[in-house]
Amino acid sequence: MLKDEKLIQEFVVEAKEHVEKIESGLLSFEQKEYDENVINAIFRSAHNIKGTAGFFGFQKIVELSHAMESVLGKIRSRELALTFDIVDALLMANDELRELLDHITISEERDIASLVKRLQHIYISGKEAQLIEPLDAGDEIFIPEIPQKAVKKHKDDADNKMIIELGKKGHKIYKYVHALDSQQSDVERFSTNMSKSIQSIGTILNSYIRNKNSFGNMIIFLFSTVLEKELAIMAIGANAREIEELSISTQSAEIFQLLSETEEKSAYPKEERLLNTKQKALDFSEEKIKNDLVEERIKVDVALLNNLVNLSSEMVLARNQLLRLLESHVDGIPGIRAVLQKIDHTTTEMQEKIMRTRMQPISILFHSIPRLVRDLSKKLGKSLTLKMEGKEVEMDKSILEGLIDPFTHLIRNALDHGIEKPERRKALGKDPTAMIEIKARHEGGRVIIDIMDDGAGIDIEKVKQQALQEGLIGQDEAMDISDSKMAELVFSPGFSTVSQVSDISGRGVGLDVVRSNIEKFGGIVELHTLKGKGTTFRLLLPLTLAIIPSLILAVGKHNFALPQTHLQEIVRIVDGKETGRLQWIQERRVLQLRGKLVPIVHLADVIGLEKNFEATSPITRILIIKIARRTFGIIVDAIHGQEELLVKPMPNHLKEVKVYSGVTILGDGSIAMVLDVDGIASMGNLVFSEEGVESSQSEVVSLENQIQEMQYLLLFQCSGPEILGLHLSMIARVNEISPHQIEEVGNKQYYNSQGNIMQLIRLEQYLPVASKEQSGEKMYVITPKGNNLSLGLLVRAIKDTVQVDSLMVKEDIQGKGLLGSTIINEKIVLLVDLHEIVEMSVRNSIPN
Amino acid sequence: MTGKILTFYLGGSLFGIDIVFAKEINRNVKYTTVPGGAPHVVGLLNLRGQVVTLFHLAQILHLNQKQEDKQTKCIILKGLFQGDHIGFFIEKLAEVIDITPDMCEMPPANIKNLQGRFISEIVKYNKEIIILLDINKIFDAI
Repeated sequence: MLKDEKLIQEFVVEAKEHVEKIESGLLSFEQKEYDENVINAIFRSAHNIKGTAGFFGFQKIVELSHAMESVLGKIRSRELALTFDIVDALLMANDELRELLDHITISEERDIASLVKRLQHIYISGKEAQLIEPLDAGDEIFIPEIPQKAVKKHKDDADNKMIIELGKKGHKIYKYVHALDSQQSDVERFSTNMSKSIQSIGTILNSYIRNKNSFGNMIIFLFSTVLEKELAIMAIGANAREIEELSISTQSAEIFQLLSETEEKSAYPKEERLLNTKQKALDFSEEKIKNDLVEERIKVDVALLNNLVNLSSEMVLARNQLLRLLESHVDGIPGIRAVLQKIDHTTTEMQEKIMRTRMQPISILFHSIPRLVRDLSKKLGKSLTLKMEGKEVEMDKSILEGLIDPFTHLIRNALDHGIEKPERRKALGKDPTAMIEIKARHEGGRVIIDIMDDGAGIDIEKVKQQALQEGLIGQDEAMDISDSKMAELVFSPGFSTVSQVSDISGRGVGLDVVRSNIEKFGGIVELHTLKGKGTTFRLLLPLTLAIIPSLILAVGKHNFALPQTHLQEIVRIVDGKETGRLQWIQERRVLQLRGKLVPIVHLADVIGLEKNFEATSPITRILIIKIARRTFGIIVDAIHGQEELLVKPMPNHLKEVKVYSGVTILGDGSIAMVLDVDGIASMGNLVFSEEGVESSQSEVVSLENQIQEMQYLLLFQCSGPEILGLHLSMIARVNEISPHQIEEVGNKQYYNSQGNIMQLIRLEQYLPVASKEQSGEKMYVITPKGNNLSLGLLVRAIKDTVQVDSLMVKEDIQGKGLLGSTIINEKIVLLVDLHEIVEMSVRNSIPN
Repeated sequence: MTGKILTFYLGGSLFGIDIVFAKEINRNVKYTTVPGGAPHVVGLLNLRGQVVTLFHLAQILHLNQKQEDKQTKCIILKGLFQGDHIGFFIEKLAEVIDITPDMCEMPPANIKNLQGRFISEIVKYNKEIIILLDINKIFDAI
């Protein structure tokens, strides 16, 4: 225990504030103002004192404040009516608390037993204890005005909402009934342990003890979790017949019944559950104290933080305007340049810091995992080690909270379906102890979390068969769908239920829920699997919930923002050139996209704007949107570019407009509505059959190529005279080498780059360009970014790097490995499709 | 009521609101219209990073406002109404007036129709009639 003078001093100051709050709150009840907010505030204050005192080891304070908290919790949950006597008991306890704090050094010597006992009595018996103070006959109750029915109805509504919410998150509800022997102390231990087990996998909704007969009691837990029945049973170590699954859709009446069971005796301290479902159960005898309470923190209202975020972005705008305005006068005013620079930097830094205030380390998410893994692996008879990296990575609090369920899901999928039994692993020549690795890291303004296992991987063949059987794909489609695409089918809604998945030996239970949960806050789930080697789920998440990369587009004079999560590609159709592609069927527009018909709506039609026919340009711009497996196109008048936007919630007075999901402030300070693709699909009367249009990824021109306003291209020549271009963003580095450094092994060429052997690719072998014998003193090796294969492009000459705005990719010159061509400084530049080149070279190097 | 009221012209009549509701008065506001939104919502304004919903008060009160009137002046209200920051357009700003209960009268019976419920009192001031609006009622009702 810590005995730092200064910290204790701080604690005393803070705790005294809480004591004052409790007193004024309690006194307000004397004036008959029952107010839920006040009782919540008092409750929190008592809880705070308890938590911090526990850290310093002031047992008496902990004991007393815990007793107060327990009683307050019961009042809060309306199990206990607030009487004068209870207020009195609480006030006395509060006074004692103040005494203890005033004499903190000798606090352990004071006797508080009678006070604690009195409070415990109130807590247990549900009313003021007779023993200590006789009750007045006219004992006044403060909240009789609230009719019981109304309270109940209110509760029912809340319950209903909660259940629907749980259902949406993919939770299942279970009832657990356990018969107990009569020993009271065992009952308490059992219920505490059980509630902890349940909380490691889900949320306790209700719990109570029923007298069965004179020999024993029944303890009943109602809880929800994302786990399936069998796994839930294993995770909490229950007996199979003690657990019953209650379907949210069909058995809601029963769930309600169970939820509204009044506890004869709570099997689990209820106030804790109300306070925070994720928190461990606390008990009179057992205290868990969080270590990080000691860190120097100050509690700040979230609304205030959000306000700061707003103001800081506003300040950035003002700074930009200031810089622009003063630019031409800088030389005329001595000294102003330094001042401007300082304002510039300070503003940037300030905004970054303010953004960080909402961030929390990912360890919050990680800390519950070891227990889940341990419990499940034990129950499933699998041995494995868990490795976690990147605890310190920070991300937005609300995203972290939303990740808890998907995480539980993915980990338990890996454990159940991914990892084989030790015997099987041995037979396969693998280490019998499996490995699950969870790695979190920052990369390019995003947080990437990998969940890797070295299990069986997904059997693509079986997924294919299952998909065919379920009619998710057609027979012909199945032939030319790539393996990675096929693996992604496990994310399709309804792809698999429990029984189906255990056949597949892959995964898939509720993966659609995982995906939709992640996508809800702008994240992406990727799946990489190798049969027999393992599976990796990669979650790509935005740093903050509020900032979303978006496309700024316009219809008429109106600007809109479209989050890029669902944007698949942008199609431009020039009038008279490709007239066949955009056609009308029954007054509805459709686009022929790589042989498939895609329904098209005009954004102006959907949101009820007048279309401006006069200003129609010869180019039609269509945004291809993909939601799950449904694809459709939206026609817009103009595309202005890409911005990272802070999305604010819709004003309440505009909530009923379904095509928008929020509001944002653009870089120039104007407001734009954020479009909601789901809303557009439903407003545009798009009815999708299950067989959505599947577009082939390989042909999709990289989105970035079309919409980034300013881009840098590296221009170079291979052996021939053609000028080739490659995005600078795709290049890690360029090395100058001399031809004698190239070594030949077999028919391949290698280069020793700082101790790494790098295979060299000669572009002329893959591209439709002239091939000549090389004769030069110098050669260059271009190393692409994100290249795990150690490949380098061998080129003859580096010409230039050029900055081009809005690259016009022409499709006149086509060929494998080319994105297209463009004209820079009146010369044709061929744009290289690096991905395809790498793929071709890999294919080439595999024998046969 | 007693206290200061902020008065303004709208649809040819003189209106007033309790000055404690007013946060600021903005001229030449640049706002964004919301296609598909309710007709009494004019648009959204960026007020130092806060999104303010701007209302067409004349329409809410069923006043005849000439369409060609450019809507450029607006009063932004303090606090939140149904969770939103709110403002509304006016035609012309008048003055801030101190009023006392003897200047006020309940709205006459014949204007207690649907829009009459938004009127809290009628103020007689220098032979002029000021319609005192009940801001809470208006912006909680719509």
